Formats: sequence, structure tokens, C-alpha cells
Amino acid sequence: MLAPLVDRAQQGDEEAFVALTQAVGDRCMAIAFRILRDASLAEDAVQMALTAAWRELPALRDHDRFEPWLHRILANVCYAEAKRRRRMPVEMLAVVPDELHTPDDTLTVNDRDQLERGFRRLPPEQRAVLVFHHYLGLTVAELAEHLAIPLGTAKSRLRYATLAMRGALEADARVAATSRERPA
Amino acid sequence: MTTRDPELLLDLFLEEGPAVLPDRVLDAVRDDIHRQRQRTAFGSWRVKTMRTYIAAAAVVAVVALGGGLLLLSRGLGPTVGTTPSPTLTPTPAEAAGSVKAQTTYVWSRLSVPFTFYLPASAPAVNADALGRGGLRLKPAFGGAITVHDAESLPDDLCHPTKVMTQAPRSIEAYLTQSSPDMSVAPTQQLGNIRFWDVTLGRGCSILEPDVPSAGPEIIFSPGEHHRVYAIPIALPGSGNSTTLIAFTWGTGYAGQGDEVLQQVNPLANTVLESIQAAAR
Repeated sequence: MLAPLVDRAQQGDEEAFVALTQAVGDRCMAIAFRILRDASLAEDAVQMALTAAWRELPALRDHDRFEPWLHRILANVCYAEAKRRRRMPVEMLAVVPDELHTPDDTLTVNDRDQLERGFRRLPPEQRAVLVFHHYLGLTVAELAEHLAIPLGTAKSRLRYATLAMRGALEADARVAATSRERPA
Repeated sequence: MTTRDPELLLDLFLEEGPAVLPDRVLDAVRDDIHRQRQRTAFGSWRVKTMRTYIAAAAVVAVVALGGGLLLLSRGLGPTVGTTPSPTLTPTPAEAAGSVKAQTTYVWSRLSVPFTFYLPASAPAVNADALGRGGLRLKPAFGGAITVHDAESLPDDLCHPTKVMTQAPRSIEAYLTQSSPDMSVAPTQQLGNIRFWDVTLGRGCSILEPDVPSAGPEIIFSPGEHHRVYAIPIALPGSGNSTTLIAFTWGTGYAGQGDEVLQQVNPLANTVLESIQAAAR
């Protein structure tokens, strides 16, 4: 569906490229925010990625693969943004006591806090595989293609990232439980 | 301690957050692309239809090749005193012209003008100029050989961050320090020329965000194989020397069509070994 627009954009048609960005921009924003955890950084990353995609578009061979190719560029931009941000002071997040008896399909404030802290501790490459797998719903093989990494690397990144997130949830939960058991 | 499914919690967590790109970003992108030219991707000539103005430029180049450019016969070098200043081409980028076997040509669009010789065994070869004066030779069987003076090359073949402004002091360091994602075979020697077979790993980036828009004139991509040559060349009259860098390329992108390197590499060995400095 995008291929005719890609073809025109490859020939230098700016309006066709703008139409492409309108078609894929929301999804790019969603991906970038989820990797970077910051809306402002995500907007910058999407702008840089789309502009870079315009410059590099003549190199794209398979017009049907535009979106995976764009996602690869976007992921690279996000990695660089995350590295720059890593040099900035770490944000301190307030710890909020967990609520009891929460429904399974609802995130508590404490869940969100634990996940946020666990997620921010992950390298950006591992964040990306989680986002592509859990948010976009891609299989491991598909996310390997989107990120231009070998299948084995994709599997190991997903495994380590999942284990790390699980560990973060469990460790934080243990801390919370211990603190609740402490005598007043 | 929570006993709920961490995978489900992760799904819920990642569902949250903005999923709409603000119009101001789209507007900024529109402005950006209006100011920026698309890069001529290396290899794109193989798949793009030649556009009218390029075709017109090619006609001009062919006329120039026939009329204004000097073909030196074998054995006559640039040292012949009465030889007019020869130039293979003043072609606009992407305009192509054919070059003939058993002929010496001069390329003067780089900072160091040089001559090269096309052997009798060479197939039909087209030549054109890359964006910043690099020479691209395209044999009929596919692939290409490019020659550069390093002033338009990426600082790192695997993870480029900027364009080099001068030739690296050590090509070995340029290659081996490029990135752990790139493998470099041991140095091989061909007369004064050293060369290396390199493979860009899947971890190499098609693009790094810090590469400026007026970036390198060639783009490498993951999975590609190249032969990289360091060609020492004496600067006439100065006693100094510099180094040209050459690359061989397959027919495709990201390593597709690299089989043709079996033919391109031997041709490159012959052509590049013939390179000598030319008077400007």
C-alpha cells in the first residue's frame, strides 16, 4: 500500500514523502516514546529518523519493506538519544506503596513505578526488542528483521530483557513486602 | 509480593503512553526535507531509471569524452611534455561514459590527480563521478570499483558518525578501529598497494543519527563484503606522498550480489596497481 508512495518519494517527490510520514508517523512516535520514555525526546527522534529516511530513501531496494527499514533507522536514532540521556542525571522516582487485591488487567501505581525503573535500567537495544515484541506484536523473527539483527541476537536480547524486567518486578516487590513487614 | 504475570504487566505498561505524532513534528519534517537533498545511494544506478536530466548530462559527458578529453595510448604517460592536461571527465554526478581497454586515463577530480590503465582483458567499463569527485568504475559484469581521497569518506565504515576531513594516517587503524562488528582479513600486498577483505557484520548500522546531511558520498550497509585498498601515490614535485583509498562493491545492497566480487576484485587489482600520480 505504501509502495507507490515510496516509489514517488524515491524520485524526489516531497509530497509523497510527507504522505508517507503521515501514514507511519504515529507508529514511529509510539515506538520512540516506548523506547526512550520521554515524549520530547521521542518527538526529536522521530523527526531525525524521518529526515534521515528521506535522505537515505534512494538506497531502499524493496519498496514493500519501507516500514521495517524506517523502524531500523528509528531504533538507531533512539539508541543514540538514549546514550546521550544516560549521561544526564538519573531521574529519581518516588516509591509508592503497593495496593492489595488489584485486578490482573490493571497496572497499579507501584507496578508502573517498578516497570518504569526496570525498563530504564535496560540497555536501549533490549528496550527496543521488548517494544517491538510486546507493543507491535512482532514475532522474534520479525523483530530481528526490523532491527537488522541476527535471529539469535534477537532471541537472546528478548530473553535477557524479559528476565531483567521479571527480576525488577520481583526484587522491588520483595523490598516492598519487607518494608511492610517491618515493625512500625 | 506480586504474583501477577510479568508478561501481562509488561504488555499493559507498554500500551500506555502517546501514540500520535504531533503535527508540529510533521511540519518540521516537511521543512527539513525541503532543505535537504536525497543522497545518491551507492548502487542505486542499478535499479533507478535514468531520469531525463541525467540522461542529458550523460550525452554531454559522452560528447566531452569524445572531443575534449585525452586518451593516452599505452606507454605514453603524463610525463610527456606536450601532453595537454588530460581529464577523464568533467561529468556531472551520475553521468556515465564508457572507458576502453588498453587505454590510460587521467582522473583529476580528486585532490590528487592520477592516471590509471585499463588492461586488455577488461570487460566494457563505464566510469562516472561520485558526488565529491570520487571515481566509480562499473564493469559490464556488475559491481563496481571506487577510488577516493578520503575527504568524503565516513570516519567509520560500520558506525559512521562524521565525514573524514583528511586521509587517515593509517588505513589499518581506520579499518581495525572501525568497529568490532566489522571483520577485517589479514593485510595482503600487491606491489606497493596493501589491501584487506572486509565484511560488515549485521551489527553495523545502515545509518547513524549523527551523520550530517552532507555526509559521506558512499554508504556501507550490514552484510556487505568489500575489498579495501590503500594506494600510496607520490605527489609530483613535492617529494611527499599521500594515500588514495579504493573499494570494490557487489551488485546489490546489504551483501546481495556480492558473488560478483570474484570478478571485480581481480580487475580492481590490475587497474589500481596501474595508478600513478598525474600532473595537475
